[in-house]
Order: sequence, then structure tokens, then C-alpha cells
Amino acid sequence: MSHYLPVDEIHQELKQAVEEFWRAEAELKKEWQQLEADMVQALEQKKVDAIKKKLSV
Amino acid sequence: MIDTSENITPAPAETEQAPEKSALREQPDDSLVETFAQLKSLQKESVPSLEAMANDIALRLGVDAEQRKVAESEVQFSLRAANWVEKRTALREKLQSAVSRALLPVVTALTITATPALGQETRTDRPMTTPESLVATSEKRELKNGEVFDLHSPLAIAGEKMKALKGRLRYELTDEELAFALDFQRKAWQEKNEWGMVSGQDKDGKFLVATAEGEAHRVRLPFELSLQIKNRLLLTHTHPVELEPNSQAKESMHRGEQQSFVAPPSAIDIIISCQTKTMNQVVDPRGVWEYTCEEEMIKKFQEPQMQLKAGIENIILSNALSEDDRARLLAAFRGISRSPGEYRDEYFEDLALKNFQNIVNASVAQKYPGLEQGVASLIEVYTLQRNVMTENLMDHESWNSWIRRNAASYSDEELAVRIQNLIKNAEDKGVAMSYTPFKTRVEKRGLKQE
Repeated sequence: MSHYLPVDEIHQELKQAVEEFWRAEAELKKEWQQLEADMVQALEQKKVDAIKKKLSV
Repeated sequence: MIDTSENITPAPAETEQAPEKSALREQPDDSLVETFAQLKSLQKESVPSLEAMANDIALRLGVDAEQRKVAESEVQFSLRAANWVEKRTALREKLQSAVSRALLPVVTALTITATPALGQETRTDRPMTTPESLVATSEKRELKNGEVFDLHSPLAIAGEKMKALKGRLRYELTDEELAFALDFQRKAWQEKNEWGMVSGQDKDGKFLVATAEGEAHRVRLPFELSLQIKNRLLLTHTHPVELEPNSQAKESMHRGEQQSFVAPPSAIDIIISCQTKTMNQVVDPRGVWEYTCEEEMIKKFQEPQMQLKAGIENIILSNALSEDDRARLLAAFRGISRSPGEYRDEYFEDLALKNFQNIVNASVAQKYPGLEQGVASLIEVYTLQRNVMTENLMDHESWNSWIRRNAASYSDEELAVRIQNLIKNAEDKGVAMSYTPFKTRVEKRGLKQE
């Protein structure tokens, strides 16, 4: 074993773990944004429908 | 490094790297600090509430609850949101697992105990050597600190805390200690293996010493002698030229062309000194590092596990648990410190704690409300405290690694700046430290008086 803690290797592994997390999280963020966009669209549609209904009355 | 355990995680060999020739840097790459800061901020982040998000959108658009419900159903909000939360949780767990894996050598180092504990009865079959001839020689030579060490060298650096401590104790190495330090300097240059030594005075003031040869990267100190020592207990070990990660530089040093190998105490050495609470020395080819942990540092090291032990046992004992459940949990918790090889006694590993938490959650949590949360909170606090220690050790080791790699290419003045920074950094964390270069240099595998 190395006499000292393998600080460079540990650091590399930590950096890699953080980078992988960010990459995966960026993908996840897209999913989140899509979900948000779908909700907004659906709700807007409800709002439009409600206005249309009001106008038709 | 002092070895006190057989249960050390093997670490990859250090990469060979040519000494840095670029502009002088006064501290190691600070990206390690950045990485820890990023990790901390990631670990703090909480998963956003999807319910809150849906509410926010509905509020912004001014739709009522009925419309929102229909919209949610149209976009399959609940299902997609649940999947999203699941993925996010898995991602965090993956990160945590990768971090734990990366830090395993550090956590394993933290589990090392300085066995046998100093001052306790121990038995061993290991032979002790007491080279009386060295002591006899030293008495004849009447060595003095100023003759052995180059106190005018820029490398003679004592931290403020070490200066204060030595002043308070009127501490100076004795003739015998100096003789052994010189002998260890020769060993650091010429011998592949590390050497360790326990020395001090018995109740009559007689100098006692035991030395032991270790392996290439570790040595088991002959702690047994400490039972007879009543004064000036000193634990010493070498950091030989063999630790130089660059093989060309190492050969050059063996040929006597390069004489600047400096190898400070490792993070594991610091951990051991926190446990032994003694004055310690690392003898490297150029000089002697002296270091000792302050009471505050020792507390920081010991308190987290003591608090966890006391806290968990208190929770188990103070809850109205049935006799069976209480016995089962106590056995499970105390079992953490008993296997394997008893080396977990000082610091608990993540896995062992996770197993204990699983036992609590699976077997008794439902019967006793609050128990699960209480255990989880204690473990969380303990983990946070241990993370601070891990970060400090990694930081010390990065200064260390940086000095060893670059020592050969620096002038003494340049090297002194780095050593000063390392010592200041260690003292800021509670480890009093100094470095004193030898007057003698070793050349072509022999000592040369300057």
C-alpha cells in the first residue's frame, strides 16, 4: 500500500462522482422542465376553456 | 507511517510524476477544497416538492383546484412526478455511494487504533532490540542539538504552537535521543524499510529504547516498551528515500546527486498521534519532524464517536423497549465495534452504521415511535463531524504530497516557504509541528559531515 493516503486518486474519484452527478442531473432537469411545461400547457388550456365557456354563456 | 492494524485498505501506488518546474506556487492546487465545497452543497440540497410546483403553476395561471386536478390527470402528473423523485433519489444515493467508495481509504485510516493502547497491559512475543552500543557512542560524543541540527538553515521551522509547547516544557532532545535520530537519518537514506522506535526514561531517569524494522511502507512500533516509560515518551519512525514517488529522483538521491528529499508526517501519522497523545517524530533524510496533537484536536477526533456511542445507548436504554428488543439493539450496536478484528472501535464505518440502522428500522422502529428518527439524527450528526475530520486529513495530505513531489526541484529557501505553510496549516487544525534539518548530509550511501 502507499505510505500516504492516495490523495490524488481519491480527489479524482470524488471529482468524477460530482461530474457524473451533474451530467445525470442535467438530464433529470430536462425531464423536470418538460413536466413543468406540460403542466403549464394543460392548465393554460383549462383556463382558455373556462374563458371560452364564459364567453359562450 | 506507523502501522497499528492489519486491516488497512490497499491503496493504489502513487503515480510517478516529474518534479514541478513551473512557476513557484505557495500552496497546493485548491481544487480539492472546491470539490469538497461542491459535495457539501450537493449533499445539502433537498428534493423540490412537486406538490409545491403544481400549486405554484396553478396560482400563477389563476386556475382553480378543479381545473388543476383535471390538468394533472391529463399530463399524468402524479405518476411522472413519482418517477422523477425516484430517479433523483437514486441519483443521490449513487453519488453518496461513489463518495463513500472514494473516501474508503480515509475512513479506513480513521478506524485504525493505536494498539496496544499505551499504558495498558499487553503481551507480545515480538523481540525488542536495544542497541546499547549506540547509546554508549552518544555518551562519548556528548551530542548537542546545535551540533546535530542546522539551526540556521531556512528549513529549521517551528510552528508557533510547537515553539510555545517546547518553551513551556523546556523541551530539547537529549543526547541519547539525538544519537538515535542520527542513526535513523542513516536508515532513512540507506534502508528500504521503515524503522520505528519507542524511547523514554524509566522511573529512575534511565534512558530506554526499543527499535523495530518494518516493511517498505509501514512499521509497527514496539509499543510494549511504553509500559516501562514514565517520562519523555517519544514515538519515532523513519520516512525513507524509498517513499519518493519518482524513480528517477530516487536513483539520483541514492547516487548522492540530489539531497533534498523531505517527507512530512502523513495523515495516518497524525491520527495515530491523536490516539497516543505523545510527542512524535518522523525522521526523513533531511531532518526531523516533531509533532503532537493539541487537546482540542484530540477532542475533535474522539468526541464524535463517544457522543454517538453514548447517544445511541441512551436512546436504547431510555425508550420503553421490551427486554428482548433492548438486548438485540444493544448487541447489534456494540457488535459494530467488535468485528472484524476489533479495528472499528474508534471510528464506525458507514456500512456498519447502515446495517445497524437497517436493524432498527426493520425490527423495532414501528413499535417505538421516535426511535428511528432519534437514531438517524445521531448518525447524521456523527457523519457530519467525521466528514470534517476526513476533509482535514485530505487537506493535510494534499500539502504533503505536493511538498514531496516538488522538494527535489526547490532551493532550500523555496522549500522553506512550503514547509512553513504546511506547518501553519497543521497548527491551524490543532497539530503542533516543527521541522529541523540535520547538519549532516548523507552522500553515496554514507554520512558526510559538512
